[in-house]
Amino acid sequence: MSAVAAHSPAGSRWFKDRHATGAVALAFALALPAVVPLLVIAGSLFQLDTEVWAHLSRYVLPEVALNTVKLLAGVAVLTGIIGTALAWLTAVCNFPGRRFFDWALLLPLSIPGYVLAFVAVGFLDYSGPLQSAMRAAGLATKWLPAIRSSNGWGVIVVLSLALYPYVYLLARSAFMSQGRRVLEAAQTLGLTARAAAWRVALPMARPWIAAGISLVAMETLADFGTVSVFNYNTFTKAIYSAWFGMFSVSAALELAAFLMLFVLAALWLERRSRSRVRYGGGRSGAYAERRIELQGKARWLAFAAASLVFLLAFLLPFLQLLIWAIKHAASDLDVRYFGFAVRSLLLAGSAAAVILAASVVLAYVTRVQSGPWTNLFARLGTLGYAVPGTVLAVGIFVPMAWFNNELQGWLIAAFGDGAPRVYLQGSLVTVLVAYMARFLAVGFGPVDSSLQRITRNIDEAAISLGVTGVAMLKRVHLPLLRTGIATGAVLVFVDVMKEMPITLITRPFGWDTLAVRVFEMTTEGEWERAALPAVVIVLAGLVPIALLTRRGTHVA
Amino acid sequence: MWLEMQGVERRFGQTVAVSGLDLSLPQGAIGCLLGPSGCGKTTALRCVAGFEPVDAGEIHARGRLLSSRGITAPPATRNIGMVFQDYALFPHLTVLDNVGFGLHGQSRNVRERRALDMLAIVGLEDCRARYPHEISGGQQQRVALARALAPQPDLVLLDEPFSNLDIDLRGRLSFEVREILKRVNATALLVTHDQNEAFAMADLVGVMQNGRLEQWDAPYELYHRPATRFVADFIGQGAFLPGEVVSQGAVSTELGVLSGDVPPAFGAGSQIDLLLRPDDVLYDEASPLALEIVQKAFRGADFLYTLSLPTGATLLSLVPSHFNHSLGDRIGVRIELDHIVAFPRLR
Repeated sequence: MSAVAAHSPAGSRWFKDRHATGAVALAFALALPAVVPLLVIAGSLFQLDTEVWAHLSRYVLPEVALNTVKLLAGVAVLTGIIGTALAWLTAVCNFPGRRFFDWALLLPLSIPGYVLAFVAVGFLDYSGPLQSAMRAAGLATKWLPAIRSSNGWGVIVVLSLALYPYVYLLARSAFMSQGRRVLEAAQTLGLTARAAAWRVALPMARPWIAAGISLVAMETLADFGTVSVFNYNTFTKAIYSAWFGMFSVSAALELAAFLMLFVLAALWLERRSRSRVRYGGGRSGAYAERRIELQGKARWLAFAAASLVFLLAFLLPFLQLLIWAIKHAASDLDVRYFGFAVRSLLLAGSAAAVILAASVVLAYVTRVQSGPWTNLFARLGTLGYAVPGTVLAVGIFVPMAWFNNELQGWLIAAFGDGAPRVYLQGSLVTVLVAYMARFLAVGFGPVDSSLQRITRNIDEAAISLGVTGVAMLKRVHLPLLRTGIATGAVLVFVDVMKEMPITLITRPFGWDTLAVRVFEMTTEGEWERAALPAVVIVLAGLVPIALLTRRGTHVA
Repeated sequence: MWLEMQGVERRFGQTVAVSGLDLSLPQGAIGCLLGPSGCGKTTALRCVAGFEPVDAGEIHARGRLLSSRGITAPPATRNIGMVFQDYALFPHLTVLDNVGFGLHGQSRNVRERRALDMLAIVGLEDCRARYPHEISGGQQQRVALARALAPQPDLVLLDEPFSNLDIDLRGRLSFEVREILKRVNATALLVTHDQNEAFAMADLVGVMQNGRLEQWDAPYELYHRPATRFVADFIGQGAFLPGEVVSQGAVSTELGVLSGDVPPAFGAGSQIDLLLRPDDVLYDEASPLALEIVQKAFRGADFLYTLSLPTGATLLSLVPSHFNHSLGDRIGVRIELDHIVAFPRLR
């Protein structure tokens, strides 16, 4: 009887309840960084400052809303066309260079929109390489369209080139998972191969494409750097100017609330299309068996289209960036630059550590104590990926400042005038909390999916072999989670390196990072000098793409 | 007895998954719980493993109490090995490390030698350095078995061990697994919904329905002496023919008076349903009893004919495949029973 554990049912229920309460509390705490800013911003709608509101609704909102809608529509259409067409070509067809383009078309993911933007603007600028060369050759440059013209075509094209990979990725996996069988079925029913593609393959991929486009829409709404380079006034830019230009917290909050309406629409679209995503009957990679061999002119048209996108979205900007960076390295590369890089690495590193720790805890909480509350908090906590950085920054700064005042008041009451001074809202704590709100989903995703692969049977197999508790965590869970944790850490690290608005708004005084440096150079129109810090960001961005493509080939 | 279950009951809220389950398994025997999905067989197995507590009854192994109401010995302490339906191999470990996983507290050398011995027994020494995803389903299955057997458990549990394999492999592997279990003299309890598998593997088979064990017996007895109508129906093929008991040695039916031992529970005059297996209905051209063929299934060595009686009742008959008749033909048959299997008449 020595090994027999006896406990009364009542005792075990108490034990379980205590566990459940603890788990729910933990999940709630981890969801707070994402939830609080949303509540603060929603709350601002209910206590409109009438003076500010009068100003905003008259002079700011009409332009900003129209610009945002125009940008959204343009980018959605353009990324939809580019992403879907390229996905069809590389996933289903065969043409010269297909295997190269298959992964090379993902490379633009490594170049943040704002980098692509300043390279394009700098290249096409009056003093840029193109116009200088044309003038030197005696060519007229007047007829060139102005990329920064206020109708926004420039920012639409640039953002589309930066964001189409989202649509490309999802549409590609849709086409690959469909399998050839459905197309064959359609052809036995009298459709030509081309008609089958239009009437069967494309409609089947529609939810994936829609999901990709709604991701693009969320990124577009969140974008701050690109529109800043183009001086194109959207919500994010208006929030930033309200914050730093007008020093008006309430204006920033109200604009953020309006922006959130757009975001919620995009989020709803994304959720709805995801729920319609179904996996086709064929096994993945079924097209590889027999692709549609493009013939004659079509082969070279496909090659030209893929090359054009690859050149414009990656190769040319990357080369231009390198040229500028090398040109200015001698004069700009000094101790200060070392500081930008170190601060970027420190921020990205500590954000990755904090967020991955939170992700592991959250993943275990939802696994061990799966229930409506823990699941709700997990979902709320990871909602931040949809919320623009400007919104989160403002929405976290305000309650942080309030909390800081309360804390200071309490400290003074407790210790008198000699009490230590605290300044939470201007400290790294605020930056990290905001990062956590924005990027928890990025770290949680890979951790959670690798934890879900550890089935209950795996646990029970270990238990039946006498391996339980900490030994089981060490010998079974940790080795299986390692890849998920590493993947999540890399993704968060790179996202933080690229991140601009949160860092700009919440960073402690003097904490300039590489992205901040890029912003400062571009606001001064120093396009070429922005290249040096941007190169580091782009190189870091190549790492997750390497991971992504390696995983892709591993699965196939 | 090596494994003893008495009155085991397990509920989930209002639903009773297992109730009043009694069975015993001697050392070295292979037992099998057989039944349709949802009959409670897997829950019963998980109670033995200790992954489910019992709400009533007791489970003993080698005389040690494992489970009773309020008492559940932790699974890790039971010395019971388990083979899971999806094998649940550890994906990050090689085949050899998977097999050696349960051998803790021993030196590395001993562990490795034992794991290699187990791999030799299941015939997979060559796969020792591979990872689970690099070997076939049948090989994964045998690795899972080797892993469960390596710590020399008192009892091995197998949960639908062959359901993830294709049909050809199932037949071959079930004999192989039986061989392996017998070679190491393991006591095993498996769960399946496939009676061919149960008959091929097990010394003792229990048929379960709605959480109850209807009969716990040798396969031969289950087929020839089913204890309940459900067992008679579930095991093998057959038809029920209405009849009336004339005496302890005879039953009067539509086919005339059939002789055979009538179970003592039925007195003269009882209305019964008589079980006729296809091998009780013999092909006989000389027989005066000629019945119409309404369905036929060619099975290679023989035909299974469905024959219709004037009242509309049907019989099944197994006939050597040389006698190829068409639908609608009448063939002569003779009934041969040595004992009568009967159940109270329905309705």
